Amino acid sequence: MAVSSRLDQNPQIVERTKTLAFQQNRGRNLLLTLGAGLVFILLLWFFTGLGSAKLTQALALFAIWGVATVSLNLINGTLGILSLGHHGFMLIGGYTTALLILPDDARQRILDSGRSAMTETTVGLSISNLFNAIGLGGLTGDDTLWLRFLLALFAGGLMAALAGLIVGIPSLRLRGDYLAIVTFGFGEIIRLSASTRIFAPLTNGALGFAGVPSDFGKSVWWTFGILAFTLFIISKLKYSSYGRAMESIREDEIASEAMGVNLAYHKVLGFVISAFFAGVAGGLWVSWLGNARLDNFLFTLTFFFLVAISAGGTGSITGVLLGTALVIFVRQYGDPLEETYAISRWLEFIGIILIIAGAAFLLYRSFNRSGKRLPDWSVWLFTANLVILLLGSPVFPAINLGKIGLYIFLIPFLVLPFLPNVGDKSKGVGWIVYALLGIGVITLLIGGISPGAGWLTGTFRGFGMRGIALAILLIVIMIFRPAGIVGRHEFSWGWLFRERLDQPTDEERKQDAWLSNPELNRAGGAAAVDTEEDA
Amino acid sequence: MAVSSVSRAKRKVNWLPWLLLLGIAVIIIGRIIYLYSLDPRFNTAFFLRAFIESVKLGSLYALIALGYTMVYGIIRLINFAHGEVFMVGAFMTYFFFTFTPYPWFISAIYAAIIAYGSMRVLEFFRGSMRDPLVLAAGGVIFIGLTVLVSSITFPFWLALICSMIFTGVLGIVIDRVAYFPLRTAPRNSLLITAIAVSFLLQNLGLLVFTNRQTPFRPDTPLIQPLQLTVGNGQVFSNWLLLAIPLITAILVVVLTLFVNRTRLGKAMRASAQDAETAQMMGVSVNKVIATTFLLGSMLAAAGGAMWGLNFGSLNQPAILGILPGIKAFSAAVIGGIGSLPGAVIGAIIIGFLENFTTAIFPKTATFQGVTEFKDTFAFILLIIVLLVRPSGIVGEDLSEKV
Amino acid sequence: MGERSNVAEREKLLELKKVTTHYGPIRVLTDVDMVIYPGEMVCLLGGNASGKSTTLKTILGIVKVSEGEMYFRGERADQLSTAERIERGMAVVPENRRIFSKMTVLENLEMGAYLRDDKKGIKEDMDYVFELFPRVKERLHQKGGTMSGGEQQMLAMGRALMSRPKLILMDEPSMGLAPLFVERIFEIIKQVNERGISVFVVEQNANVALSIADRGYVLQTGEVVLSGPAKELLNNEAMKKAYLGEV
Repeated sequence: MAVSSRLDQNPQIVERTKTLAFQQNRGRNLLLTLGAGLVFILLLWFFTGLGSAKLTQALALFAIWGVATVSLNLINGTLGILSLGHHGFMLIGGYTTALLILPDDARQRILDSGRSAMTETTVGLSISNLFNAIGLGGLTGDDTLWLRFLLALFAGGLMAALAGLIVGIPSLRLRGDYLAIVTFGFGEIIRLSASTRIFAPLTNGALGFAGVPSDFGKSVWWTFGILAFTLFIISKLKYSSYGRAMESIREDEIASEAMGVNLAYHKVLGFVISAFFAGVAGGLWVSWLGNARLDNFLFTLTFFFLVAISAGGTGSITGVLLGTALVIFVRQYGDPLEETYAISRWLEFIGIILIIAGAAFLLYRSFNRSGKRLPDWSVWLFTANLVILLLGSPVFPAINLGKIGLYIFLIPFLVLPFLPNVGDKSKGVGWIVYALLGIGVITLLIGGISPGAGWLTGTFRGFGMRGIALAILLIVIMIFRPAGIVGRHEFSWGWLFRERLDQPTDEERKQDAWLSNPELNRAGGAAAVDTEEDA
Repeated sequence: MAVSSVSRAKRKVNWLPWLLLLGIAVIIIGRIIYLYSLDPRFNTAFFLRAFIESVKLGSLYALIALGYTMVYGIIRLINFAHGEVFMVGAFMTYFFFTFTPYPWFISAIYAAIIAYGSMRVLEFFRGSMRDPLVLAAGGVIFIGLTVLVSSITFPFWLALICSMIFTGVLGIVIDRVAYFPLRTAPRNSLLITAIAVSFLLQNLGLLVFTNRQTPFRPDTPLIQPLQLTVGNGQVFSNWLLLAIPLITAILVVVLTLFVNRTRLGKAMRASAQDAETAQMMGVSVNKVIATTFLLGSMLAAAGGAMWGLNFGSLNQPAILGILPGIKAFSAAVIGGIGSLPGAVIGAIIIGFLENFTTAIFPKTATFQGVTEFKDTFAFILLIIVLLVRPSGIVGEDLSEKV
Repeated sequence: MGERSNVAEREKLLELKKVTTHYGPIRVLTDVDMVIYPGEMVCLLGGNASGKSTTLKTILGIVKVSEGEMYFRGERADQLSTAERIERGMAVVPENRRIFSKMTVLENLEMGAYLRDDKKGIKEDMDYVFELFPRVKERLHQKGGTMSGGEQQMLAMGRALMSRPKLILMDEPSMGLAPLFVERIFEIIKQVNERGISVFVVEQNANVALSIADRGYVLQTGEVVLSGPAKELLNNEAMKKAYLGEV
């Protein structure tokens, strides 16, 4: 399998050398990016002009959390270190920003309330006061609020970066699970101690700050602007030598150290930068919320980020943003799930979910086992069907399919897996899946056909359904597609034009696989351990 | 893994931790003496009570910590979801003594699950699920329970046992559905999945119980008041003060006997040391792992039930399991992760840290007390231990595989 | 099974027919044919990454067969789990011994007999192990990790014997042992073999292995390139150059 002797003869390699020599078209890419940016700005202007506060808020939140997830991915994805304390960094950044930018009347209210742990001194920590003290009194008016907010954000980022420095230190000694726990611990320590008497003078304890100016957090221009900045910095970092060093640390610490990569420097750098942007995101977050409260910085936040990163794809910034969009969608538009409905309707819902899940699983299994790809038309049909069902659901109340329409669009799910080219029943799919499908149909029918019968008229509130949905999504992703939807593929103009300059060819993939000796690299080889035993 | 004689040769006695321990002991004893001389309220009875209360709290944590340590020992996973299993155990107990009797349809479902769990437990002693005794017992339990659950209101002890078995089955299911497919996946994926399972359970709990507190007051003699006369003081408490440590001790002893004496227990220890070689001895490692989850979850459920008894109510499901879970995990790490006695020792230490310090540094006119820090203590101690001595008190040097 | 054809065929204990295995997209073993008869001692030789260990793992079931078949004691075995194969009479002495270092010597031996129920038989076999390896008996209650490499090798062999196997698979028993020990170990392997237990040894040290084996196979990049009686292999020119070294 020697490569060298075939260089001249392998047509694929010759072709690639030609394209590589043809240099990435930087000029063209830049123009395209600027053009796309313009289009995007127009789109934003259009959508915000629609007048839907919900949409605008969702967009802004997407950008804010985008900053958080992209920065978290710097550690989790690029460095390969599982960090679970991101909410702590956001807390520090958020509270710092809030404290520095809180308008004077809100400060006065805190003092007046008499229940606060804050003192005259700590309440007076504002940028306005700072400006006054150093002779910049002219910049303390309302028209310059934006400047002070920007500075407050930056300060928040710095404080968080400091915390990132501290949290980054254990990463030099610990690995894997233990490090993850330590980051989690730090996140919780930050939150728990913020309400204790040590820090309460600065944070106003459990009461927090109300009245944070929300023009900035809710503005798509501010949030997307900062997101753009974040993307710029992070992608520059990721595709530079620093980023490559970090990726090599992720792949094999010992080998990269042996090649001269300074582990400590890169790890701590990753933490500091990631924490900085988390702090900025925190500042925007408190602005979006309009207040700074400890309850908004629970571990739940980090969990959302984890779902976003894992579902989207830890290897690419595009993927992370996609995942963030998904999570934001569920969070902001998932309210219908948490309403109170009649039990019969819940049964219908569960039935539909089971049917879709069963069909998806059967299709996946047949695709995986028989080695053939699913015919493309079946994948398109499945996806289109899914989208139609989603549109017809209470999430978009404007479109109503009606019960008959609902049932019609469920039929493809029941039929597809049993078609000859598509489903492959020969390889013994577990009875559980068929049971799932069956139970789904039964549940659907029970719920749909006799809504008036006895206990079916009782109601039930879907409290926590969104969390359940996201959790199940994450579990499914981890089991079936741990690389995320997008995997490592990053969006680039070259990809759009199918230039595929940065993707390895099949031949190269094979050679890579052979080189990573399966005897030495267990993670590199496919699962050879007997995982089919009966538990 | 530790290879041959090198690991035994050099156990340098590091004097620093011992010095610290001595210092802490001196401070504590000094403080006790100070308080004793300060005020007659701080008499022997007071300290005795504080001592036993700390042991009681530590016992509760120990029941949870054992599950963490066992699972980590075999599959090197920090089972984030274990705190939630504890929560489910508590709520299941509540279900059984509050809402029984159930309609027969639901009773049958519960009975089926518990019968299955009992069969798994009996399997330890008889070797196989297909053994006639096991099958017969399963059938009997199924029918018997269906009848029971649909006709009577469960007493606490029966609710406890049923909840333990039910939660044990939950543990097996979680492993089979979420962790088993990831046996060969990188560790980060497994940890993320565990976090997801934890979140799922929390929200399922919210779905059923919403976010209100649930009172936990079954009719049981355990919460009857207890009065002890010690020296020239009185201890006013309830029987739980003695019952919880006792029950925990019994459970721990049974577990230890099981792990050390039975064949399946040996298989568990072997799998924890070297799973592939255990497989080569014919051990079904997946079954061993399932058993580990079964046992750990059963203990956690017991802990949950007694936790409810102890505090008289249950926090909302999204919160109940989080802090005890983390503290129990800290306990397992401090004691030495992978070691059963270590988990218990660590848990007792955490119990003391949380309870005894609050007792000897109480809130006074001039001093606001340490209560608001007590949760932070566990985290800080965890981080310190992980940085300084990750192998814990009992553990041998668990160097990461290089 | 065991149909008699015109040419009286010995019953095969283990047979690999055109076995091919993969690690993902890479082929590790290609069209491997091997046979082991009852009572034989067969060795498998080859350089690094020739697929020796993979062959052993395939026989054991730790690696799945992609193409081809495997038969053990007349039954089709390549779809069975590892535990099932152990139950049917295989035992293994893994590479680097892999004894349970935190368990006592006695417990290690008991683990070998994990799948057995007959207390009497287990005791008999343990006595036999003590006979073969008196040192093991001496250290019965010590933790496995406290023993030297050679002692661990003896324990590992004893552990394998505890399941009263029909076939013992050994992965590089000489690795990491002093030459004197290596001779000792192979003597004992021969002793065990003479009791009627088939032995399949994967070895780098071709000289020692061929000196006591009945037959041998040589693997190179996953294919069998040579096979035959041990004596023939010892005298084979290609073997001498590649594995046995010029004298």
